[in-house]
Amino acid sequence: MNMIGQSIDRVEDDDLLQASTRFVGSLAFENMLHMHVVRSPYAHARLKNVTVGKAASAPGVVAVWTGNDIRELPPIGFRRIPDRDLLQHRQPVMALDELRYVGEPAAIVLATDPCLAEDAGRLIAINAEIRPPVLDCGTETDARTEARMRGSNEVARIEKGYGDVEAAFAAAEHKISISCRLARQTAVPMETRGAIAVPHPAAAGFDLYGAAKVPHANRQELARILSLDIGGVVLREGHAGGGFGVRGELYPEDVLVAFAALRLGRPVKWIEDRSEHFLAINHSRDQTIHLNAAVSKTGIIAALRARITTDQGAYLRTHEIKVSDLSCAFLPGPYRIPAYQATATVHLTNKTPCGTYRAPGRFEATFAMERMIDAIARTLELDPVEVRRRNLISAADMPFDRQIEATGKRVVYDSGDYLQTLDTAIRAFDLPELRRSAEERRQRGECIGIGLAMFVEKTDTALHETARLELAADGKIEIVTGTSSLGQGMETALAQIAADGLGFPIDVFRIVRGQTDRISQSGGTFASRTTVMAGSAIHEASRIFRRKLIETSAALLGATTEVITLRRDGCCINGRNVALSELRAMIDASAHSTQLIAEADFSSGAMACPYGVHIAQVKVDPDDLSVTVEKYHIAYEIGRAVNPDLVKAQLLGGAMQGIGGALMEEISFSSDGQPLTTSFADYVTPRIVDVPAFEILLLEDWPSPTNPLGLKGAGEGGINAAGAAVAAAVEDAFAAKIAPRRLPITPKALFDLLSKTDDGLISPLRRR
Amino acid sequence: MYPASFRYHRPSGLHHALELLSRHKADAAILAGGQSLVPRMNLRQATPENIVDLNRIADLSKLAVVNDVLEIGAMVRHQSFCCEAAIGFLSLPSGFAELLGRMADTIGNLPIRLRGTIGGSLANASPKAQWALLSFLLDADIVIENAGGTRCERYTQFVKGDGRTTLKPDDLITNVRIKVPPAEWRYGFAQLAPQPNRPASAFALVAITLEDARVRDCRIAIGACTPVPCRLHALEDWLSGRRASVSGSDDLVEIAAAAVRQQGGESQPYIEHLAVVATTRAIAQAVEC
Amino acid sequence: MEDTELHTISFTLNGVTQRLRVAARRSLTDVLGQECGMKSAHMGCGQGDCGSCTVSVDGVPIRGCLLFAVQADGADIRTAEALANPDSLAAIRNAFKKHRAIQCGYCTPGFMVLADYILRNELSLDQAIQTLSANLCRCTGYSPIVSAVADLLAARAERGSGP
Repeated sequence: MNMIGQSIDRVEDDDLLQASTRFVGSLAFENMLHMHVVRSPYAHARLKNVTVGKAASAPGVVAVWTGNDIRELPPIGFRRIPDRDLLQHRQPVMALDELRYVGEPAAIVLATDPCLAEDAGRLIAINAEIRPPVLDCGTETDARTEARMRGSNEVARIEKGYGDVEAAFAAAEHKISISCRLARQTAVPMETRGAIAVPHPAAAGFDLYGAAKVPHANRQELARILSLDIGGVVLREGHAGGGFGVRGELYPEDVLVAFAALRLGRPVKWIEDRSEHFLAINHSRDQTIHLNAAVSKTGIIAALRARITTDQGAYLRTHEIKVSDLSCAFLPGPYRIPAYQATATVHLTNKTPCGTYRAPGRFEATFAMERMIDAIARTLELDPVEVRRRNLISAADMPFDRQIEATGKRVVYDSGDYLQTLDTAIRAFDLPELRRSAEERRQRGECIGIGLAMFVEKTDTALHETARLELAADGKIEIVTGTSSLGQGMETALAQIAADGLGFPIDVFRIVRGQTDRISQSGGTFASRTTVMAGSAIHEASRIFRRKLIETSAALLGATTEVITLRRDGCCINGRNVALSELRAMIDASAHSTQLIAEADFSSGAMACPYGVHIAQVKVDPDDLSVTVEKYHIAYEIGRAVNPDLVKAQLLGGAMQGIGGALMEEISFSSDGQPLTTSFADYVTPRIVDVPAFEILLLEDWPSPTNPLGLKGAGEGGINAAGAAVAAAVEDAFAAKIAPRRLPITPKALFDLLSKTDDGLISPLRRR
Repeated sequence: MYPASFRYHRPSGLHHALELLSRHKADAAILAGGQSLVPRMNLRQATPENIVDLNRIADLSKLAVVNDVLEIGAMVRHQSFCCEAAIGFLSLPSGFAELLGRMADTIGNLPIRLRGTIGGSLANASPKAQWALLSFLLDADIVIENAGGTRCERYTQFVKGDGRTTLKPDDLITNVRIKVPPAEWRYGFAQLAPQPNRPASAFALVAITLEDARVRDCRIAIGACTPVPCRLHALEDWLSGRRASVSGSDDLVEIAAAAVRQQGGESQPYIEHLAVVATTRAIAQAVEC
Repeated sequence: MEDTELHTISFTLNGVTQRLRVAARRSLTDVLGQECGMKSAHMGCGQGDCGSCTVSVDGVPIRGCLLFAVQADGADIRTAEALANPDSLAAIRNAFKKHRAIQCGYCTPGFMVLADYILRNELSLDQAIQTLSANLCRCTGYSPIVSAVADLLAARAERGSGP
């Protein structure tokens, strides 16, 4: 039975539709306490003391702790240490001597009821000496207060490159520079974070509910911080209401619930509220990218210089400076660019720390690179598509070694034909017709534009992945993985791979995921790796399982393996059907048989690189300057789609999120560092009225050679080029009289941009 | 995310409600639709000790036309105006009824409109509130009661600034009164925001009458961009008597811009631009409808 | 201030009468989730912005986070677990599933309540889109939710005009 490639229904849905599944918010345990976090109201201050007396004696309160009470806990570590010097910038679990952003945990209250915990929290006074906040990159800071920063707030510098950039610039016919800016944004999953720690007897460990993304890595880090044996820390994942990179990192609150549960010997629950979420969860983007290109008169890029500045916020969290590293590494995208030099500087400011958000570093890099291509086209009066065509890496150069590393791993594009995909997309979406009809509407006075952008994504394969198949007591085959479900439908995709390997129908399988006591290892779920890595491990495990199943059946039934065939939900021996449940009972009854378990590990030397083309059609209201995305088309090379509908769903959801990033979403701060976006009313995300007509073309022309199934990741290709495509479309709508190089392109931003041009664009009312 | 504790009162009649307000005065908050108060309570930006819930006082949800005056009970929900079944019986002039529906339709979203009330909206005196704009254009009166008696105030006088009104702690808005406009009135309403899906940063409401393709009378109010809504009298004067076709002209844009600038509510050029766009759009709608 | 004062309330939840003692400050969403075991009671923002908590109160969709449970005394409440009409509930579930209108599932109960309201009130597709725009989803890109509801409306129209 060929299960790979079929758009079967999601195995997750019945559970979610019947609301029979619990998200962490609705879990409760006997004798449970509730934690409330008291947060810094200041962007920057020296912490003198925290007065907790009144709170400690308030009704229902069991404990109140400040940073001083947990001084023994080390700061939260990185998952990778690019430079030991950076460790000094890790975030403490609670503020100790300095408050460095609004929202930084300063005290916690443990009470019998969440209302009472919050009541008591209001009685806590934070006494602090307020200092001027650092809010910009490149700000010179007071050496006394910022001893940890090197005279400026720059804390890290990343250099990457290859080729003779100097020579290329010296010989260049054109030198083209642009500056791009991406506002601070975040993912805002619909479910806020939550965690419940249930202590084991004698404080030997705990179960932590609400886990996601990287349970195994977090188990290890929690054990380290809390000085526990790793076996004592068990992470438990239930359903999670969206991840997008921000959920599931190890945050202070996760450590705090575990710490409190251990010390108090009672389960402790914490549920983030939405305004806390906007202060506490990782922010992202917030980069300025200056590009200089040395270009021939035919539009071929001979060299590229990139200068990237990242506003990292107050601390380096679990992802340290990874996003800036990725921006440097993936900026050249699908283009040859024979010489490249990138410098990224990472700056600490008094804002919420940043981390990864769907297509981290790549959403930013693609935006800048594609804006550069469009700038070249404009300068040389060439068709933007033609400039792309002339610079694309050719299929003959695959696999293409970029000669640089991304987070310590060589960037090699594994497979593909970028030119072919571009042409396929142009044909499939009829770009000439889109352009013609846009031109026609422009003639009629409408403000319509078409934008195209290309990108290369990466599927992270840096960590290996273990998977296990087990015949359970009820006759189901459990697929045990440490990767994580964040809503993407991974249970379905992984079950399809196992079903494909074994030839059993999908309902034979049950996914067990995110339970660290059920499987020894997992890299986790990020960088579109789950289906590729866990899927490959499951594919291998299912082969082993199949062999063992046949051998065990043969032994139990006294037959030779040759006469055994697998059928619907078991095996068939000489005309006799033995169901899996029956087989399991026979194994249990037999003194000689061992349980049917197959484990496999998958690792890959190279990253799989999906890629694609986005085409956006926008309409700008000439008066109020609001931008409507009318059409959005994506062509995406996935290698091989396990479940095409689910891949499309990922692309579509990602694109909508990207359109939000392109047109609406922006986290902002007042001049004294107070966040101005702490609710969905302030942080504007797309709604149904903003949905364009989507068309998605999945291509399976270039299976990845990096894994046995030829898979490439699906999670980030939808968002990657959305900023670039929408900006190009807006530029086109104004016949390239403006060049939007700052995201989001709000009507206000467009107004300001148009105000700077002097050809009357801003007085459209007068055109009538 | 949990409000501070409070005592909950659910008066069954107006008299009881007024008595509670008189007893608790500044320690009490009035719970009407709750779509503005409760979000603030959830963030503990509002921490009233007593909540007086008006939702069971049937008398406050009445709608009637009495002597050509539309009387709207303070607890009438926004969504009622979107619903023929709820206001059809009033036999309002069709243009006016349609305007009420159109304006209501732009408030929040369906669940918000189903709970939020006109009285709550007017009491909050938010410059971004549709009913405040309407009340300024049509010189609405509001009936205010307390344990000591009843008074009637012109809404334009009642509002003193962004969120500030003449309401005393024991006062309760019970009714809104709007003189039903003549059937010949034509309306335009336009609102604009600097980001999609956001409440208006500028909106404009226009009522005109036409005679021989000329504007006979007109009223123009803008809001959201100013701390309180305001009438653009200079523009009204300019427009009165002119040919209706002026609505698309550059002259109108310029006069509108000057009138908006005169109000000086927002110093941001973009918001000012939005106000001009909203005003000219609303005028064009009124002329063309 | 501690919640010394508890209120005895009763309401019909998915057709079954519930009697509860609640503190006045507990929202309907909080009480449905924590006291009544409704797993579909999802708090998303507590500000009425996102609609994850949308439930049907006396036949209309309401933000559960902005209604104190004590205010729901005597009300008829329906959640995504058991919308008014079992046939319609099954149809909504099937349409959501078929069109991939679910990813993480957190916003799903709120959208199901809106879909149920749209069907019961026989709204046009345009009205349906406006209505659905009340709620936020961050996974699906919405287009599958629109397709699911459009499909439901089309099926209803077909049944209505058929023999």
